[in-house]
This record gives sequence, C-alpha cells and structure tokens, in this order.
Amino acid sequence: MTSCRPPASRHRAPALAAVAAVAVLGLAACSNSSSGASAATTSAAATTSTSAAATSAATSLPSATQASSSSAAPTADLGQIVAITVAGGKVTGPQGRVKVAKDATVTLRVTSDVADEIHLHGYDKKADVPQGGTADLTFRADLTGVFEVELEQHGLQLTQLQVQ
Amino acid sequence: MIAGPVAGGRAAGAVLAHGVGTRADLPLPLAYVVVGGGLAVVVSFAALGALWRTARLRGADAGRPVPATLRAFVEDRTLRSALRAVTLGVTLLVVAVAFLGDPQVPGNAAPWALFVTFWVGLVPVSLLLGPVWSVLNPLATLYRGLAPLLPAPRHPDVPDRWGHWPAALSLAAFTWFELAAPDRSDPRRVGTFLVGYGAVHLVAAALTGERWFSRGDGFAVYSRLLGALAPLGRRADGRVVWRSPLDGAAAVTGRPGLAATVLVLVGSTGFDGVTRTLWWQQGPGGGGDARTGSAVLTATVGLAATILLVAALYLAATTAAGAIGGYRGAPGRFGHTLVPIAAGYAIAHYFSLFVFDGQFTWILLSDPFATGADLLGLNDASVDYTLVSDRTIALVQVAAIVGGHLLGVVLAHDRAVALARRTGDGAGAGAGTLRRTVLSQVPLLVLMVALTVGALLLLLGG
Repeated sequence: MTSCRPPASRHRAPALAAVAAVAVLGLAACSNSSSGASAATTSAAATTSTSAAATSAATSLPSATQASSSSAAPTADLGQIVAITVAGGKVTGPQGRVKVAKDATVTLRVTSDVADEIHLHGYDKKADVPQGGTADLTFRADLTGVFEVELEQHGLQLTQLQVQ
Repeated sequence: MIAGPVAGGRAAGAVLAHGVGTRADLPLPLAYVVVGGGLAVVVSFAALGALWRTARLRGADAGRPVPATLRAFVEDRTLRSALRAVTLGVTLLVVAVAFLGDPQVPGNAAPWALFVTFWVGLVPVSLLLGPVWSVLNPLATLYRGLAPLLPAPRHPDVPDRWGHWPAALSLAAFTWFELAAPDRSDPRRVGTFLVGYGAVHLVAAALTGERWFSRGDGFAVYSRLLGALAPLGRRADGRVVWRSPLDGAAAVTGRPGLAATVLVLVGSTGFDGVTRTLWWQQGPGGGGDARTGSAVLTATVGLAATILLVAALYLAATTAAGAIGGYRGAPGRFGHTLVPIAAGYAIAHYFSLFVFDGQFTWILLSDPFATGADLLGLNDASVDYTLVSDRTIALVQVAAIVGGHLLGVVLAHDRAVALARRTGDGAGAGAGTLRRTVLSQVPLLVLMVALTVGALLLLLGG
C-alpha cells in the first residue's frame, strides 16, 4: 500500500462538504491503480482540469503551471537547494544521503514527468508536483535524524536527508 | 500544512524496514563506536583473568525477599484480574481499530500500537517489572474464559517435549511480518496478523493446555526472558525477591529451543539494523518497491540469513567451548547468556522509535475509528521530536549494546565455571581443569565481541 494522507484530514473542517470532497480526492489519490498518475485527477474541488498535464488535485497549487512553488513568497530564501529529477520511474539526484545542518533552510526542488506529491517524512511536509513540472518544497531543518523524501503515490524514494 | 498526526507511515520506506516509523537515527559518532567496542573487548578478556573461579550465581535460589506490602501488591489477585481484563480489552480494541478504523497507516492506531507501543514497549516494561506479558497475556485470559467449554487438552505433554521451539517459530513469524511481509503496516493486515496469531495459539492451547502460553507464545516467552533481568523476580521457593539481573538470567531454565528463541530475537533485530545502512539501501535492499514480490523476497532472505548467521556463530562458539571445556550439550546451556545481548540490541535499535513514533499510538487512539471523536484530547497534538537529543540517543545505544555484552560475558563465565566443575573431578578441580575452563570461554567471548562490534558497526553505518 501507499500511505498517502488519510482520507479525512484529522483537523475537522467545519464544512461537511469540504470534508467529503477531500475524502473523495483522498480516496481517488489513494486508489493504487497501475496507471498511477492518471488516477488522481478531476472532481470535487472544481479547480482542476482533466488535461494530460493535470495537476494532482488535493491541494492549493494553481493548475497547470509548469513551474510552481509551494512557497508563498518567491523571493524567500531557498537555502540549500537539493535538485532531484524523476523521469521514467528513475530518480536522478544526489548520491547517498544529503547532509544538512540543523536549522538550515533547505529547498527540495523536484522535477517530475508524472504528477505526484512530494512527501518529506518526519517533518511531514508535502508539495504537489505537476506532470512535467517542478515543485519547490522549502523548509527549516529543525528536527535531527535521517528522513526520507518520497514521491508518495508512486512509492519512489527521492533522497534521504541527514539532519545533524 | 496539516499539523496533525499525518505520519509518514509508509509501509517500507527505505529509511525504516521496520513496520512503521517516520525517522531513523543518525549514524553513531565514530568515537562512540571505538570507545564502546574497545570497552567490550577489554572487559571481555579482563573477565577471563579477573572473575571468580567457582560458580557464584545462584540463579533461582538467589534474592532478598521484598517487603510484605510490596509482595502483597505484586501478588494481589484482584489487581491481576483487573489488569488482565484491561489488557484484553485494549487488545480487542486495537484489533477492532485495525479492521474498522482508518484504512491508511497515518490515520490508524493499530500498526503503531503493535509495532511500536507493544513490541518495543514490552522491552522496558519487562526489564523493569518482570515477565508482565506472561501474567497479562490476553490470549491466556481468553483461554481461561473458554476452557470450561472445551474438552480436556488431548496432548498436555507436548509443551514439555517441544520446549520453547514453538515460541522461536512464532517470534520468527512475527519478525518476518514486521520486517519483510508485503504491506505489513496496512491496518487490515495488522488486524489479520493479530487474529491469525491469536487463533493459532488458542487452538494450540486447547490441544495442549494452558501451559502452551508460557512455552509456545513468542510474546510471552520474550517477556519472560527479558523479565529474567528485572530487579524483581520469583525465587525457587516461590517468594517474590529483589535479585540481580545476573541471578535472574542464570535462573532461566535451559529448555530446548531457548537458544533458538533468543537467536531469532538477536538475528531479527540485527537484520533491522542492516536494513538501515546505506549499504543495504543502495545495494541488496534498494531499488525495489515494497509492493513488489522481489522486495519481499530480498527482505525474507536477508532476515533468514541474518538469523542463520547469528545461529551459526552461536553454535560454533558453544560447540567449541564445550569441546575445550569438556562439557556436554553446550549449545543448549548458554542460551541465557544472549538474553541481555538481545535486550541491548532491542534498546539500541528501537529506543528512539519508541520515544518518538510511539506517540502516534496515543494521538491516533484519541479518535480510534476516525469518527471525529477526541477521547484523549490529542487530536491536535503532533509528535514531539525534541523529547530526547541525538546525543542521548547515541549514548543509550552504546550503553545498551555494551551493557548487554558485559552481562552476557559474566553469565557465560559463570556458566562455564559451573559446567566445568560439574564434569570435573568432584569438588577439587585441578589446575588443568581450571585452565581448560578459562580457555573454553574464549570462543564465547569471540562470539560476543563479534555480536557487539557488529551491532556498533551497523549503527555507525546507519
């Protein structure tokens, strides 16, 4: 199985409809169909399209941008940039574990030929990457340890961060 | 950003082969490994020359009776019944949550409860309080409730003849499920495993009697073995006593399969350590998606190979010790010496998992069936990853490994002396016998140094 986010956010949204929509999307995204990316599209949130370059639906990314950023302020300090490319199910990026100093700012810059969600475990930070696009996930490395970065739906490990 | 307990509980992230988990420990600093390993070697060989020449450990006869109030508390029947009922209730709740709760790991308490709170928590609780799971075992409670309805056990002699072999097998089955099975953290599979495990042992108990649980239920035997190291124990005359972990371990009866049980524990934890190394992740264990058969096969082979390797080392060392020292059946007589080493392995590998990811169990149990309930008021809580520092984790790891080694060495020494004396020329063992006894410990020390240095190197490579 994949452990994508739980169908219903554990923070109870006030509007039932919103919860239902998230649940539907969550289930769709979690249905582990062999076609992977194509399963996660469309429906309730009413913001996404069904084009080939569909954005994965669950969150707030503007649709169909080729280079989207999860960071609200594009001018913000990106810190140490870890660039990773996913193409044809293969991951190209830094070898071994990426060493990061505690409290440093780090940006995971993921370019992918499939739409999916980037998930930094432990910190539990996520960003959606559109098909053929790039997403930045910027965070402050304030927890120490070894953490996995994964392309969530595809169960593909992108890298491991060693924060110390 | 969702701040709630949306854990990265992916079934088999490369960081953790273990059932669940969101982070892994930093590699141990080299200095810790050097100091820890060096200490282990020095202590081992100093022990040969410096330790006692006649067996000192009195095992089940040792211990100082505890005050009457404590004894009354420990033996209180009402308290025990109440705790058994609570344990059974919580177990049934976890099984229900596994099947009826959130279908995903990050939202379901059951995988966290089984792999972290129960399996890892069993270690400190047993080490401090004794064989708690033998006392609280919900399967035994269930059996006692059902027994009046069942026909009399047909093969009550089986648990004696088989010794602890069924326990070794059931622990092997559990560790395979924990470390190698496909989709092992899937809540439904966790539920299926629990029901399957319970069914097997209940049927076995129905056929052989209640003693099955203390001999054949891997979790109960694990708790009993670890509990032997607890400061609180029961003497041969039945009294509750304070005693040293050395006497407690020496009191462990050398039943058939005891060594196998401990070897499964050491080997499986060792394999978990292997899977955390970059070598494994980029080599044999890398590249595979946990959902495919090849990753399961790789992990299965790796787990079996690690257990067999540890078992082969143990057999070689004890056989050599027996040959040199002139005592028979040596492989069956040193199983207890590995109990503290197994405990050290478990603590070193799972301490941080218990402290950090163990928090998920309670956070998720606050809303067990994903209905919006907030029974424990923890719905908005998130894991506090600052409870212990990296330095503390590293110190605990080295202390656990080296401490387990130290106890193991002393236990092996005492047992070797005891065995040599028994097979020697009566009470007056000559100088030749003494030299042979000392020499016979060398293979055992080599085994323990290998296990200790191996564990430290795995943590260094983590």
